[in-house]
Amino acid sequence: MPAGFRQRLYNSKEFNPKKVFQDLQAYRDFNEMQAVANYVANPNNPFHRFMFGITFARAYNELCTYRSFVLTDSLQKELDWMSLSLVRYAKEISQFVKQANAFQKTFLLGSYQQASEILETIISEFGFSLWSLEKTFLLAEYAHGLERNKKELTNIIGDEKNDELLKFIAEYISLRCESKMSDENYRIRLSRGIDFDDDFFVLVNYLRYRLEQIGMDLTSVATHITYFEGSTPIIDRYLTFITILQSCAIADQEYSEIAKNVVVRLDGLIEDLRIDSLLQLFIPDREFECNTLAVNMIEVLDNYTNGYYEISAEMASQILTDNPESYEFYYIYIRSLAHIGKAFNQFFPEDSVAASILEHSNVIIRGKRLYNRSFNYLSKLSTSLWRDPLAYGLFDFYVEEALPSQEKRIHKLMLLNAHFLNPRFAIIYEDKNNADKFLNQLSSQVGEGSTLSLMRAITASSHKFDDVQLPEEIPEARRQIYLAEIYEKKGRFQSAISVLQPLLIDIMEDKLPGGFYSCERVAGALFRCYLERKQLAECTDMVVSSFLQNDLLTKKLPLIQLVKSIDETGPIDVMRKISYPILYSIVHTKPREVYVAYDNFLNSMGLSRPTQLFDMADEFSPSDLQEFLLKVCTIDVLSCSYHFNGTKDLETERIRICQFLSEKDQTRLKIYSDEISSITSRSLIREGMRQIEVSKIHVDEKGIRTTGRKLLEESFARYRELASMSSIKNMRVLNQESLYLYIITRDGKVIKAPISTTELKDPVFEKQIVHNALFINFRELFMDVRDRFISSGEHGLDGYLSVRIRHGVLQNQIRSTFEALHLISEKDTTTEEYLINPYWDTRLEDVSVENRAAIQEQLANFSRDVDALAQRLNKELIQVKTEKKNTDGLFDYSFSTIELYQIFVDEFLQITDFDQFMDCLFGVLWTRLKINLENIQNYISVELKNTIYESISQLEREIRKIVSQFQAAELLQNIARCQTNLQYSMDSVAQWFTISGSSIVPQFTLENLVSICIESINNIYPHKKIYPENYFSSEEVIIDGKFFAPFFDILRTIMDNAITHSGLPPEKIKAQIIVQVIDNRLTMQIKNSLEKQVRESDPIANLKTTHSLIETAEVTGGIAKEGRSGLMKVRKLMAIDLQRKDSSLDFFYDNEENFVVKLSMEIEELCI
Amino acid sequence: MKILIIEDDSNKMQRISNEIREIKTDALITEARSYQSGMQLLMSVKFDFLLLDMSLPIFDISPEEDGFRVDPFSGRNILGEMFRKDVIVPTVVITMFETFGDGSDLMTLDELDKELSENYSSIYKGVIYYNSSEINWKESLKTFMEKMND
Repeated sequence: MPAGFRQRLYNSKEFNPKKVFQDLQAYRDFNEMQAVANYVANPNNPFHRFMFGITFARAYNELCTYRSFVLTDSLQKELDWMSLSLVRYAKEISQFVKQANAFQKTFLLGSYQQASEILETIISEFGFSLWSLEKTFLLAEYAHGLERNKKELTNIIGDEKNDELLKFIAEYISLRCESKMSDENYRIRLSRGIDFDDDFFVLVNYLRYRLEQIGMDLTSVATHITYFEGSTPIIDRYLTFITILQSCAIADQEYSEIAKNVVVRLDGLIEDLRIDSLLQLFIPDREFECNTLAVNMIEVLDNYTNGYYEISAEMASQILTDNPESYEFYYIYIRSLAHIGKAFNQFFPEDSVAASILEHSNVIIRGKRLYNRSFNYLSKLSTSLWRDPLAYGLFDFYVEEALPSQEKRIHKLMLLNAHFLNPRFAIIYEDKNNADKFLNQLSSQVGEGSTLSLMRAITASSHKFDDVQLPEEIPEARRQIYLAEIYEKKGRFQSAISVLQPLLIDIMEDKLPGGFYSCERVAGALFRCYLERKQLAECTDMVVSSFLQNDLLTKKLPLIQLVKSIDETGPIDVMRKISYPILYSIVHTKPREVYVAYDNFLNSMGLSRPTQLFDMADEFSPSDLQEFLLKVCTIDVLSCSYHFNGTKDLETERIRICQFLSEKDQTRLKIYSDEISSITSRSLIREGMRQIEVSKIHVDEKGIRTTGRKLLEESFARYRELASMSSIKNMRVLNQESLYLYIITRDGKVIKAPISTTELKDPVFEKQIVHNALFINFRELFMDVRDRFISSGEHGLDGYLSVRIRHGVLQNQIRSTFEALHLISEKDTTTEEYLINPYWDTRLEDVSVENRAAIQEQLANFSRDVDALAQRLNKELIQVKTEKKNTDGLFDYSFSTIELYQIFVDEFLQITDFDQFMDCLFGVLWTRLKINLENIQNYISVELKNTIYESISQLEREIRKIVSQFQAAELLQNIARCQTNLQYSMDSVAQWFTISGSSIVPQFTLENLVSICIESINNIYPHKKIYPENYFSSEEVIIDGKFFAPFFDILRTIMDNAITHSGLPPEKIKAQIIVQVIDNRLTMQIKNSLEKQVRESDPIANLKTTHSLIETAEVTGGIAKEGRSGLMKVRKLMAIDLQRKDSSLDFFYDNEENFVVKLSMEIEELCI
Repeated sequence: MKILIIEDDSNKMQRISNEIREIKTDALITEARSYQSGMQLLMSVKFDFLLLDMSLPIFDISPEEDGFRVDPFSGRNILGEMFRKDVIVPTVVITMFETFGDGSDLMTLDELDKELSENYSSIYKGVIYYNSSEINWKESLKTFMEKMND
C-alpha cells in the first residue's frame, strides 16, 4: 500500500476508510490508485468494496444501494477509477461477454427456453445486474407476452427491500421492452417520468442514459453516469464503460485521447470485439488475426461487390443463421436479392425477432408501402436492445433510412459495435493514411479483394484531380454510383452530375438494375450536387419527378435546404416551373407556405386561377399538372388567394379542378369523386345551417285560413249584416289610456284632441264607443284571427317561437359563444351555485390559490349575468305581447281600441268580400310582425349586445385587477376574442328574427339532414359534442326542401333532449340514429344511453303519463307549454308541418336500457 | 388622406373610424372586413395609411357567407402579401389581443411586433393595443397619424 495512502487511512483523527478512498478517487494520481487497487484486490480484503464496489450482486436489492464513489467532474479520473475494477475482473467480464452474446443469438432466433437457461447461468455466475433485469423483461415479453413482463416487474417493485432508484429504472425498462409500445410513446412517457426539478440534473442525465440512450453523446454527462453506475455490479459498469469510451472515441481529440489512454489498459485482458474495435480505431496498424467468420464475411462482400448476387445472398443467409446479431448481413442479403429482382425468402424461425428484423428491413430497402410501420418497429427494437451490438446496427439503419440528415456519429458508433474485420471499418478513419494502414493489414490476411479495393478508392485522398480507380469487377450501375459519390467527395460536382443524371433516368426506366435503393441513392447524390452548384431549377425538377415516381424516393432528401435556397434567391427560372409549387406541397404542411409558390407560379404564367391552366394543359406533363391540381390547389391553399369572392366561389373552383382531374386521370377517379361529394355535402350542410339560422319565424297563414274558415266566414257574414244597419258618420271614440279624444272628421280621418275629465264621464262618449256594434263585431273578428295568428298551436307564431327559439336554442346560442372560449361556468341546479370552471383551474396553475379563487368568482358572476339575461330573453322578451299578457314581450300584438278603430276605418270599412277581408287582415298582422321583428333585431343588435358587451368588459376589468396580463394571457385573449365572436353570434341571432321565405335547401336526403343536425347541435353545445352512429338502411330518398325546417326541428328537439336529459357527460352518451324507409313508411329511431339514476327515475313512465292524455289529433294543445321534453312539439311538427296523416311517436327502452324515440310516418308527398 | 381599415369587429371598426375622423377631418376611410376584401382593395387602390386587425375571417361574413374560417394571423398574412407584391402602404396593426395563436404558434404581442418589424420594416410602422374600455389606443392612433403627416 502506498505510504501516503496508508498514512491517510490509519493516522487521521478518525478512521474513515470510505472518505479516504473517495479522496483517492477524486484527488490522487493513477499510479497511487493502481497501487491501492492491487493491494485491496482480494475480495476478502476489508477495503475491497471501497475500491471495487459491489461487484457481483446476490439479489436485486443489492443494486443501486451502495454509493461509495464520489461525484467528480474529471472524466479522466472517473475512467481511470472504473478501469481498475475492470482490469481486476477482466476474466469474469470476458466470460460474461461470451455468454451474453450466446444469449443474444438464441433470443434473436426465438429459442427462448435456451435463452432463459443462458440467462439463469449468467445470473448464477455473475449475479444480478441491470443487464440481467433488462434481459429478464425482454425475454418475458417476447417469450410469454405482456402479462409475464408485468409479473416480473411486480416482483421487483413489490419487494420493499429493493432500492427506489432500482424500482424506477425497472418500471421504465419493463415499459421499454413492451413490444406494442411505440418508441415515440415510450420516449414521451419517459420524458414525463424524468421531468424533475433542475436541481436533479445529475440524476436526470443518468436516467436518460440508462433508459433512453442509444446514440446519445455522453461526453458532457459521463461523470454523472459513472457516479450512479458506481452502485451497479461489475458487468453493468463494464457495459457503461464501453459505451462512454465509444462516445469519446468519435468525439473531439481531447475526449478521443482520454478514451485511448484508458482502453489500452484493457488490451489483451478482455475478450470483446468492442474493445478490439476501439483499439483498432486508435492504433490503425495494430496487428490482428482474421478468424473464419471474418474470412467468410469478406468473401460475401466480395461476391456482392462483384455482382454475384445469387452467391452473396446465399452466403449471407448462411452467416445470418449462425450470427443473427450481424446486422450488415441482413442488408447484404436483401440488397443482393433486390439486384436480381428475386423475392424475399424468410429463413429464420417463424415469429422470431430475427425474422421480424429481416422482414421489416426488406420493406424499407425495397421502398414498400408499409415502411413507416417497419421504421417504427426497428427504431423501437433498437431502443429495447440497446445494450446489444445489434441495436447499433438497427439504429444506424433507421437513422440512415428514416431521417433526412446523415448522422456520421451514429454510423461510426455502429462500426464500433459491429465486426471490425470488415473493409468498411476503414470509413471510421478521418485520416486516409490510417484507413490505408488498416486496409493493408486486412489485405495481408485475406488478400486484396474487390471490396477492399473499393474501400481504398472511397477512402482515398480527397484531392480534386486525383484519378478514381475502381475495381473493374463491380457491375456497371453500381460502379457509376460509386464513381459519382467519389466525385462528390472530391468536390467535382459537375462530373458527378454528368454521371448521375443519365443514371437516374436509366434506373427509373428499369434500363439498369438496382431498383428502389439504387434510385434513392442516386437521387440523394444528385440532390446534393445540384445544391452545391446552385442548380435549383434542375434540382426541383429532379425531386418532383422522383417523388412522382415513388414518394419514398425523396423521404431522405433534406428538401428544406432546397426550399430555403429558393426562398433566399427567388430565381425566376424556378418560379416558372410547375414543379416549384409541387415541391412546396411536398415540404410544407401549412397552406400559406404552399400558397406563396402556387401564386408565384401562376403569376409567372399571367394567371390568377388554376382552372385557367386547363387550356394550357398540353404545355405540362400530365403527371405534373395532375399533381399540381390535386395536391397544391387544395381548398385551403386557394383560400389564401385574393382572387376568389367567397366560399362558394372557392368551392366551385375546387369542384371544377376535381372534374377536370376525373376526365384526365381515371386511376384516381374515386379520390376525385369523393372530394366532389365531400365539398357538395359540406356546401349543403352550410346551406342547411344558413336556412336554420334565418328561418326561425314562421306563421302558417294557409293553415289558419283553412282550419278557421267556417267560423270566420260565419263571423264575417254577421259583421256584414251589421254594417248594412249602422252608420258610422260622426262616430267618436275614446282612447281611454291616454285621455285623448279622437274625433272622426267629415272626410273620414281620425284626429286626436285633448279631453277633460268631465268630458270623459260624458255618457255620450261611452255610448258611442260601446254601442257601435259594427266596430265591436269587427274587433271580435280581428282578434279571433289575430289570436290564431299568434297562438294557434298548429299554425301560429308562438308555436314556432317555442320550438325554434325558446326550446333551449336561444339560451344555448348565447352561452355557446362563451363556452367555446371557456368563459362560462356550469351551474349546480340544486344549489344554484356556479361550479369551479375546471379549464381555468388547470390553466392558471401559476396564479396563487387566492387569486385563482378570485378569478373563479368573477367567472361565476359573469356566468350568472349571462344566464340571467338569457332567462329573461326566453321568459319575458321573446314572448308575444297582447293587451292582457306578457307586458315586456317583444312580439307586440296588442292593439288599442283607438288604433284598431283607425285600421277599421282606413282599411276594412269598404270591404265586402270575405277573402279580401282576410287578405287585408293578414296584411295588418304581417306588417305588425315586420315591425316587431325590426324592433327585436334592433334590440338584439344594440341593447342586448351592449348589455353583454358591458358584462364582458366588466369581467376583463375585474380579471386585470386580480392578475397581470402575463399570468392570464390565454384568459384575456379569450375575453378579447369573445368580443368579436359575440358580435357574429348576436348578428346570427338577429338573423333568426326574419320571416322565413322560400327554402334555401332545394332538396335533401335524410343523411344530409342528420349531418346538418349534428353539426348544428355541436355548434350549440361546443363542449358537449356528440357523435351518434348513423345507420341508413334504405335507398337514398330525396325530400322536398320545403320540409327541411320541420324535419330539422324534429331531429334537433330529440337530440337536444339526449344532451340535456340523459344525465351523462357528452363523451359518455352513446347515441344512434337509425333511418329506414320500408313499404313507403319512414321510421327514425333515435337512441341514447342514460345515466343510472336517470334510468331508475323511469323517464318513459313520466312521458307516457303526459302523452297519453293527448291523442295525435289534439296534439297542439300542449305545445306552448315550455320546459318539457319537446316531444309534444315533435308530434305537432309531424302532424301539422309535415302534414302527415298517419304519423306516430313512441318511446321505450331497448334491450340495453337505452332511451329510444321512434317516429313513423308515411313517405308520400315528402319526396321529390 | 386615403385610409383603409381592415377589421371584422363592427364596434371596433366604428370606433376607430370615428376616432380617425376626429383626428383628421378630411380622411377618406374605406372599410374591409376580411383578408380577401382587404387584399382586393390593397391590390386595386392606392392608400396612404392602413389600419390592420390581426385576426380576420377569409371572406366578409354575412348571412350568406360564413367567412370560410377565421385566421388568427390574417393580418400578418396581409403584410406578407403586401411585402411580396410590393404594395407599400404604411401600416399599423390594431388589435384587441395580447397573445396570438395557440400551441406551438402562440406568440405575444411584443413578439409579433418584433417579427413584423424585422420582416416588413418598409411598411410596418407599429402596433396599437385596442381595448374598448380604455382610451390609450386613441392616443396611440393619434401619434401614429401625426407621424404620418410628418
